[in-house]
Amino acid sequence: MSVLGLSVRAQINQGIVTYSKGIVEVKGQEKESYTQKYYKPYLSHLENLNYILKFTPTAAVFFHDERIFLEDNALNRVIVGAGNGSGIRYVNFESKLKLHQLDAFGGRFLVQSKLEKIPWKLQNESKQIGKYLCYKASTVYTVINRKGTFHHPVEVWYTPQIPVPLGPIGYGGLPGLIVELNIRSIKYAMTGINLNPNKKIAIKKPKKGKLVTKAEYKAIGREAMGNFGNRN
Amino acid sequence: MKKAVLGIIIVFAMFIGNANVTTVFVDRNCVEEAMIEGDKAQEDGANDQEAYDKADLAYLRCEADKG
Repeated sequence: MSVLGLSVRAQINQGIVTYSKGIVEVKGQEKESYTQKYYKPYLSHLENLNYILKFTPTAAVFFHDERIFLEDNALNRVIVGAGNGSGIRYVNFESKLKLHQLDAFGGRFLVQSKLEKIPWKLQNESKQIGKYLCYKASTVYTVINRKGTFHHPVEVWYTPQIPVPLGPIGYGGLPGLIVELNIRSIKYAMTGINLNPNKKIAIKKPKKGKLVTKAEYKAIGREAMGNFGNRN
Repeated sequence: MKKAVLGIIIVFAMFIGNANVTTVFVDRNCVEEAMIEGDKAQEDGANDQEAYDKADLAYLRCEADKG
């Protein structure tokens, strides 16, 4: 099994990690970004959001803990979706298949893609987060929309002290668990971890929604945004 | 008496006229507001899903404000 390293698997077979979500505060930043301004009134909602990462040797799943918000409304969709937090992200390490089940554009989709290696740039910087010594790594998240192509930096702090190459919103492949992830002014921060719990973790493959490829999903999104003005 | 009735009609006509002005003032185009929010999100580099959700929220809020 390639994703969970061999030496690691002997020690850590399964686990549950929880993450919170908040706005990144940049010291010395002159101007707030649109994202920071937009989400500021919802800060308390964001900070009360929990996300759960569950993993076994064969699969992992990352999702918003729905116990916080039960109601499906437009505001909650925006808040849960901030920082790519929508839906259920599933990965099977054996088949190298990824599935992202999410509600979008008025429908439910199951976006299928291949597990690919993320081109990380490992940095020399380190910092202590709680009891973990973490190292910085970065990559780029590219968005192509009607307004252009945007390359957003993704900065993470991972710890080799927890040699599990996973993290929030589908990021992983580093020599340690991602403890903190910053993307477009949104921060995911680890709040708890339970490694090798006594009870066996069962990970179910998400099955709800129309099965589409990433390209098909993008085309649906482009069409939906283009047609937004035609509603009523 | 005729003068009094005429006065009431004039006052009523003025009220209707003002009401129309007020109506025009609050008659928001919610689709346009939604599109503006979606555009702002996309200009900031949001993906289609995020932009759509923000536009949807803006639209629903605008419609709710209109009552």
